[in-house]
Amino acid sequence: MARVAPFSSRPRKAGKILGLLLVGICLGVAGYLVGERVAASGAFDGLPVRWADLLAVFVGMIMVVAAVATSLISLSPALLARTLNLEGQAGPDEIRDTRLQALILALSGVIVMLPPLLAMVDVAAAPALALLGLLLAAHTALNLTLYRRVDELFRRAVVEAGALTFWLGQGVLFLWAVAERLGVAPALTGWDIYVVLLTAYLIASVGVAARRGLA
Amino acid sequence: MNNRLKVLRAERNWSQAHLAEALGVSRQTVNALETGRYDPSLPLAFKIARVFGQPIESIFSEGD
Repeated sequence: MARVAPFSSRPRKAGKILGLLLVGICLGVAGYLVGERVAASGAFDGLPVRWADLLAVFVGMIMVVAAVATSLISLSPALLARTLNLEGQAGPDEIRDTRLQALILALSGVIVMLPPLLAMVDVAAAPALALLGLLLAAHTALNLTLYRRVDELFRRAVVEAGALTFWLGQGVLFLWAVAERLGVAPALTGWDIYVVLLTAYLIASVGVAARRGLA
Repeated sequence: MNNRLKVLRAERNWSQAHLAEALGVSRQTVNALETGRYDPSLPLAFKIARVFGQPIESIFSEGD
C-alpha cells in the first residue's frame, strides 16, 4: 500500500518558507539599524545588560511578533485554513484554538522580556516578582485550558518538544558546565540557564510543529 | 508507517471535517495522518478501523 504524500504542495511550501525568510531578513536588518542608532545615542550606557537579557528580549520579540501574525491570520478563515493545511475554511473551533495559542505565545514573550526590562527601570523586587507570578499563573491556566481542549496530535507535539528541549538544553548546558569547570567560561546564573532552555524550547517547538504538519 | 486513509476517505466522498468529527480529532490531525506526518495512537487506530469498517491491518501497513 502506497503512502499518499503531498508532493504537489511542496513548491507552495518552499515559496512560503522563502517568503518568510525574506521578511525575516528585512525585519532583522531594520532591527539592527534601529538598535545601532539607539546604542550610538548612549541609551544603554551604564545599564546592567547581560547577554541573557538580550537573548530573552530577542526570543520574546519573536514570540510576540509570531503571536500578532497568527492573530492577524486568524481574522481570515480561508487564510487560516491554508496556513493549517486544511480543506476549505477554518471553522469557529479552529479559529478559537488558534487565537488561544496566539494569546499564550504573546504572554510567553511578555513574561520572558519583563525581567530584564523591569531590572533596567529599577522596579522594586517584590512587586515585580508578584507581577511575574500572576502572569505565570495566568499563562499556566491558559496552557492547561488549551491542553485539555486539543487532541492527541497536539499533545504528542508538546511532549516531543519537551523531550527535544531536554536533549538540546542539557547538551548545551553540559558543554558550558565543562568549560566553566575548566576555567575557560564564566559562571552562569539561573536566569542565563532559563533563557537558554527557553530558546531551545522555541527551536524544538518550531521543528516539531513543522515535522507534524502543524506549521 | 503507511496508511490508506486518504484513499478510503476519497472513496466515501467524505470531507476532512466529516472524518475528523467521526474520529473526535481535529482536521489538522486528519491531515497529518493522511500525509504520513503522524502515526495514530492505538485507540485512535481502532477508532479509524471502526469508522471505515475495516480491520486495522487493511488500513495501516509497515513502511519506511
